[in-house]
Amino acid sequence: MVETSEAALVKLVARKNQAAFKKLLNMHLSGINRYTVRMIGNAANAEDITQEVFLRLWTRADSYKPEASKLSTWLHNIAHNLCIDYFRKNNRFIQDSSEIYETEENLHLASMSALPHGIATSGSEEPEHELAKKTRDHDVKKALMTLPERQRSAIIMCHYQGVSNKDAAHIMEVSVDALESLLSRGRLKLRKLLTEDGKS
Amino acid sequence: MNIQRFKELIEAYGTRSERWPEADRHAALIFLEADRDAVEIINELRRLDEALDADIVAQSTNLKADILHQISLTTVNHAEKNRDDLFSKLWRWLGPYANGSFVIWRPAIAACIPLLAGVYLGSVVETGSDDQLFEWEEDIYVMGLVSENEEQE
Repeated sequence: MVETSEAALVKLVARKNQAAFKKLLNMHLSGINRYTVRMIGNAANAEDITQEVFLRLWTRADSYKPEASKLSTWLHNIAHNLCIDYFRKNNRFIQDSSEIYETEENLHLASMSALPHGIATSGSEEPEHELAKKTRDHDVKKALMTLPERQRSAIIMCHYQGVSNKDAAHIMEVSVDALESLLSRGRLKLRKLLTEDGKS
Repeated sequence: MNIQRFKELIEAYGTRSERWPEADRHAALIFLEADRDAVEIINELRRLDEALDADIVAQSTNLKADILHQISLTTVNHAEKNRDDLFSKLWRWLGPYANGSFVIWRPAIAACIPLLAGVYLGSVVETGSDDQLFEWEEDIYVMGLVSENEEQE
């Protein structure tokens, strides 16, 4: 059973066993990082938060109670709270579009989007369907970042992260009904944004 | 399960049944098979799920190494703390700050220890000077008596 072995690994981590920590890191790092990147909208800051999540796993493993929740839920709880703290410190929930996902790939995408359809810059030609897909990704990311952080967190957890509605409600400290309300309103906004842009 | 609840489910969780709450999933699937309006709702809202599912997040290449490096640093700091001698530990314990909070009673105890030690020593240790003085006085008295006797004789 994965949960039993995870609980055993966490106990070892509490005793500062690095091999056990590496195993848990391999199991959960990409999932948690996907959550923080989608929440924060800035890969560098999101990775700082992801790092902090796993540092807390290392330093506070003895506070994890396997009978209360799965390890994934516990980690998402930490990540969610750190993201909320980040927004409070930075006092914003709508990212300036110029700051969203400032990676080389997206800067390239922005330059490609400005060109006439089908024309590539110096460098290899990019198939149209690849460009269209990347454009859609960018629009989805932008649309997610326009949502209030609680709606965004609810949608990311339930749609992308596979967190159950009960666990997501517990993490956000709301009832399941309230969670469904957040999800519905968020998805309605996303539908309007993406449909208006004609990208979905 | 009715059409209203089915619509609420799809609007909240999307059109993929694996994302529906476990408690509602079975009933919703049965309802979907039997109700045409339910099928219409699915068709209407499917595109949003397809758009969301197409979004990908690139994996970081350095993040794992950075985290493991941080862990190794905290492990070194932890080992160094354990190597502190007893005096350093006592000195830190007697300081006014512990775990980020101000604890005045520890340095207060440290300041009182010499006082208490002095009081204790004073009460139990005999200096001997009083006895010596008493002996001298006795000797002088005896000498005085001897002198008087000699004079009388």
